[in-house]
Amino acid sequence: MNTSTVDIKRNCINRLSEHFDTFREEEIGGIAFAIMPLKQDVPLIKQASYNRETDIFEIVFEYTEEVIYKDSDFVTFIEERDGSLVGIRIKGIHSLKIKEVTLRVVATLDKVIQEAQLGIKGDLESIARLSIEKRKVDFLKDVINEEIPKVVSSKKESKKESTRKEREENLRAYDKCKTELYKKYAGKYVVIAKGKVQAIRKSFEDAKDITLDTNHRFIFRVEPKEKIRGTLRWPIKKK
Amino acid sequence: MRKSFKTSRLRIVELIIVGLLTYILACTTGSKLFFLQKIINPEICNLVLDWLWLIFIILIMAYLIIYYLKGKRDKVHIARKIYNNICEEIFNRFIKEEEVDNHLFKVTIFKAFKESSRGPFLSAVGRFQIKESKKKCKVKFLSGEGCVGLSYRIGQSVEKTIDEYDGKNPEKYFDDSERIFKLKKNKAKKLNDYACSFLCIPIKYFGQDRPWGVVSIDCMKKFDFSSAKDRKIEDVLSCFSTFFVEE
Repeated sequence: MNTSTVDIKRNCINRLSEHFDTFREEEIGGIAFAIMPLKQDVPLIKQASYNRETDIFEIVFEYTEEVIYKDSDFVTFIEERDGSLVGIRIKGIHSLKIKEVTLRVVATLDKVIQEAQLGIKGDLESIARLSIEKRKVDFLKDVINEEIPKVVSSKKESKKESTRKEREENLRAYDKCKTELYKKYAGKYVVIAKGKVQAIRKSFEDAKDITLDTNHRFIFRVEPKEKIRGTLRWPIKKK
Repeated sequence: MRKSFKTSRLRIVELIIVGLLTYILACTTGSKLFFLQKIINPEICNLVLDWLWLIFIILIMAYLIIYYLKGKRDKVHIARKIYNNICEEIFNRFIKEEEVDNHLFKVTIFKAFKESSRGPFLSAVGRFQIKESKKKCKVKFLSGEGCVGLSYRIGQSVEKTIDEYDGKNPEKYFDDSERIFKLKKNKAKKLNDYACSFLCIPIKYFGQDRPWGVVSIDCMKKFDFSSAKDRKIEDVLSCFSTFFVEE
C-alpha cells in the first residue's frame, strides 16, 4: 500500500463485530425471533481504504465468486452473482461535501435493502440471507458516517504538513541565494517556490501568477540596501 | 446402560457362535459328533453330519452379522459418549455459574438425518442435564420445526423465549409451540421437559459449509441468553468440530 492510501481496515473490523456479534429481531412467519449469524459466516474485510491521490474510498469484503460492479452516481456497488453485497466504492469524496456524500450513500444503501425486501421470497433461507445483507448495509452505513469525515480530515492535515515542508524548502532556497539577489536584482520581484527561484520580474503583476500549483511560495521585492556612513564609537552617547 | 447391556448380549452370542464353529470343524475332521453321539439319535446325528456344511455357512453368516451389528453399536455408543461430553462441557462452562437454578437447563445436540420423505429430520444424539436421570428425546424435529429446526434451516443462531409452562393450563404451552415454532401439539406433548427459553446454535460439518445439526440449550424458566454466551459456545463447538463428520 502506498503512502497516499489511508488504511482503515482495523477500525472497520471493530465496527464489523458490533454489527454481526449481536442478536437482532427478525420477523419469521409473523413472529419475532432473535437471530445471529455464526462466527464463521461473518464476512471478512478484504480491503478498507481511502486513496488520497485518486480520492476513492473503498470497502470490500472477502469473496469467492466473480463479482459485478454496479455504478450508481458517484458510488459503485460490488456484488456477487446472487446479488449479495460485497463492497462499495465512493469516488470524489473531497470534491463533494462530506455530509452530502454520506447522506446520498446512506440513502442509496437504504434503497438497496428496500429493493431486496420487496424481491424476497417467503422462505426461511431468503429471510436469513436478507438479515445478513441488512447487517452488511448497516455496517457500511456506519463506516461511511464515521470513517469518511476522519479520512477527509486526515487529508487536510496532510496538506498542512506538505505546506510546512515546502515553506522550509523555500526558506532554505532564499538563504542560499539572498546575497546574489541583493547584488543583482535590487528593486525586482522574485518568486521562490518548490525550493528554488522560479522567476524574477519587474512588477508584482507579472510575478503573481507564477507557480500557482504549489502549496507555498514566496513573492517579494528585493529592496535595495542603503549604505550607512558614520563612525562607530563605544560607549554610545545619547544625543 | 441399555446400550452396553445390548452390546454384552451380542458378545455372548458371538462367543457361542465361535464355540459352535470350532465344534463343527472338529466334527468335520473326526466325521462324528463329539460328545453328542451317545445322547442324540444316530439318525439325527447322521442328518446333522450330512448338512454340516450348511450349518457351518449359516453360523459364519450369523457371526458376520453380529460382528457388523456390534461394530455399529460400539460406534454409536462412542459417538453418543462424545456428544454427551460436549454437552457437559458447554453446561459446565456456561450454565453452571448462572444465577438461575442449574437443574432447569438442558443442553442437547441434535444431528440431522436425511432419511425422511419430508426432508431431513433432527434427532437427539447427545444430552446433558443435572436434573434427575437423562431421558432420550423421542421427538424428531423436521427442518424448520421447533426452535431447533428453525436454527438448522436458516443456519443462524436463534434465541426465543415463550411463556412458561403452566400445569393448570397446559394447552396454552402447546398452542404457543404450534403458533410460534410450528411444532404440532402431539409432538409438543411428547417432549420430556416443557422449556420456555431456547438458544439454538447450528453446527456445520468439519471443514464444510453444510449443516450437521444443532446444539440446543433450553431453560424451563424465562432466561436471556446473551450474544456473548452464544459466541463462547461456538468457540467450544469449534474445538470439537472434528467430531462433526460424516459417519
